[in-house]
Amino acid sequence: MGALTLTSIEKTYPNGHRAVKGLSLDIEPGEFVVLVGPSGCGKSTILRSIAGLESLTGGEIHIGDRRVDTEPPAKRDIAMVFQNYALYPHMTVYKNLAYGLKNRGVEATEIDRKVREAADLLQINDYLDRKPQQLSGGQRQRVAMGRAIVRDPQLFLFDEPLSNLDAKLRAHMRLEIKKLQRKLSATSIFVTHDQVEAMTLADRIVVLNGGEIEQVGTPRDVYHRPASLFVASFMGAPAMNFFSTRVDGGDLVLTDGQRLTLPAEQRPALNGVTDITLGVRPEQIAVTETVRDGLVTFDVGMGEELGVSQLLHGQVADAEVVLNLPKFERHDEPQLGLSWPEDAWHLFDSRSGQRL
Amino acid sequence: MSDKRQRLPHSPVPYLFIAPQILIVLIFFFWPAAQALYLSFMLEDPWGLSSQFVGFENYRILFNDPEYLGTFVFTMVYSALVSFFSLAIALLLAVKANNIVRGQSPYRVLLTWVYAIAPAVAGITAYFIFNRQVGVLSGLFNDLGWDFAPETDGFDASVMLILVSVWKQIPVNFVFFLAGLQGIPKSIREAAHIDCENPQRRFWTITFPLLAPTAFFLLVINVTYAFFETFGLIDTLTQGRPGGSTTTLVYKVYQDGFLGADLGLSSAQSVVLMLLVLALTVVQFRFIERKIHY
Ligand SMILES: Nc1ncnc2c1ncn2[C@@H]1O[C@H](COP(=O)(O)OP(=O)(O)OP(=O)(O)O)[C@@H](O)[C@H]1O
Ligand SMILES: [Mg+2]
Repeated sequence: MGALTLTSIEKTYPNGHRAVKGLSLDIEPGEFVVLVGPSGCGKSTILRSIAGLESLTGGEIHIGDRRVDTEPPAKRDIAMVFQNYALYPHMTVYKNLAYGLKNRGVEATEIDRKVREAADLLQINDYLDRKPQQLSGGQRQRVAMGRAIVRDPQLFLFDEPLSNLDAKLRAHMRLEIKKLQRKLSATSIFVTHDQVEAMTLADRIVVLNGGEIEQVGTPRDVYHRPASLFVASFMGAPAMNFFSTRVDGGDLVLTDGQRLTLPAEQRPALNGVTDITLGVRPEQIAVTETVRDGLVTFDVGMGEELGVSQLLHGQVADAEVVLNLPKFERHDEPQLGLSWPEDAWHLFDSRSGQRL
Repeated sequence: MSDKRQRLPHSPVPYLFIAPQILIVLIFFFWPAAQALYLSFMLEDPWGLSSQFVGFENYRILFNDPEYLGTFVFTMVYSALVSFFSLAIALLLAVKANNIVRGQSPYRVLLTWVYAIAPAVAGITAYFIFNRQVGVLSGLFNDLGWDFAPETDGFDASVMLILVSVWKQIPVNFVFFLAGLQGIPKSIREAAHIDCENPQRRFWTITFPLLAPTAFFLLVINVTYAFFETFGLIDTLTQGRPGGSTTTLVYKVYQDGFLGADLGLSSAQSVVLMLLVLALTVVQFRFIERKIHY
């Protein structure tokens, strides 16, 4: 039995909106699971249902071997870090940390020890006597983490805790959270719509779409073997390029008649499907300055400088395409030839959107 | 470096804008207050034809009057009870209303519209409700074995007055408390749900402290209400009867000054009242506000 088990959980809001549609997931002890997906896909709803802040309309939640979906939030032995931190404004940092312990009848000396330990860990000892308004965003974030850590719960829940921080602090806190999670080997579920956060933090990523799971896998899996067009387009920035093609013998034919020869080991995957969407990540495409047979013809458009690399926008067979090129000197060629290695081909069934 | 601060040109126009307000305060507050202070040192004949400086004579009479002491005590107890009950009941109702998911608005409207009733009308309505012959509540009390007689029994009259005063003040408090409750961020309430299982404890440790600014503001409002605005209720309901047992300080000012035509004594009372309210306000701001987190 895992640390957390969701069994076909369903959530239909009173207004009839079905936010979560029968979702099952098993989380191992100490695992860091990240839920990602576009806005409105039900990430917060799932997290809040686990916390007990929303009641399920179907399914079961087990933490360890306890069934918790009928328990009140305080009895589930979870801690949650909110997007806006939700610190108690009338209490000092110390009291904010101590509050949950005090209500659970922990002894004062024990509370003091735990609060100071957590404060040490998060380097917030200097602010223990301050009220939350007297802290910066990053400090509040730490206090919010501290409030979760002192209770030493079985499960940590994070609902976009970094989204109110500026980019630099966010990157810093991201690393801190990861370190902390490793150190405490705390089972955690982290909600974000930022794919960089998802990729960097997760042991496993759960990609959600419309209240259902699209894919569960390690960050590498999700990035290199996206299970569907949705996952492929959602993970990665700039997003994967897609070409609609038709299968003709061993070739894929683009809408403008260009033929691409499918690598031999991809052929069995086709399985008789004829309408194929081909996906290629922008950074895996190489350019050649001459247009030759066997290369894909690319109509050059705008360029964007990113520092580490350059983005080159353009078109292939009337579809928008982006290239991410580490070194590219701009010349005036109206057209370039494109090629990509054999492991860069992602084939999807155009109809079902599933990976082949 | 030069002084970069923006300097607004001084113009008389702003003074023109606040002039009406200042005039109103001067005419309707400072002038009567000064008059009262002046009159409290004078002895005037009932027709206002002649008056004579008597120093602290009016105050001496006042403080040696056992009836005044009774009025003073009644006012204090009455104000404390009215403020306490109207705040407590309104808070309870607001907390309950805030937890209702469906049909919240009709419930709110029902609780709020009593506010629109003028005190005198409320007094007359209550007069009928408590009337010996036709009153609903009067009948109920009698059925419960309480020989309810507000016309003759000072305690019964006080109970009646307090009930009506509280009832009249609940809507205001309710509206403010509800607004205060809804101003508490949802995520803080949720964090509290995770940290604390016991709803009562949660209320007293999280909700109430966050409502404290509202409660303090309402406390000031309610004390003022009990002191002054209940005049209309008293005048229609008991006129201070029986035997002055439901007379508040304000009502006594009116009785002695307008009905008793003893302007000097009545003025001395208003001066005392003024000082009392001033002292109360200072106490409230000094000692209570300090404990409040904003
Ligand atoms: N209380 C509610 N009543 C009705 N519908 C709701 C309620 N809360 C959320 N929803 C709907 O449920 C869906 C999922 O909402 P949820 O907050 O879980 O999205 P999310 O994935 O967290 O999005 P975001 O990334 O914007 O935070 C949305 O379509 C939303 O409109
Ligand atoms: Mg959300």
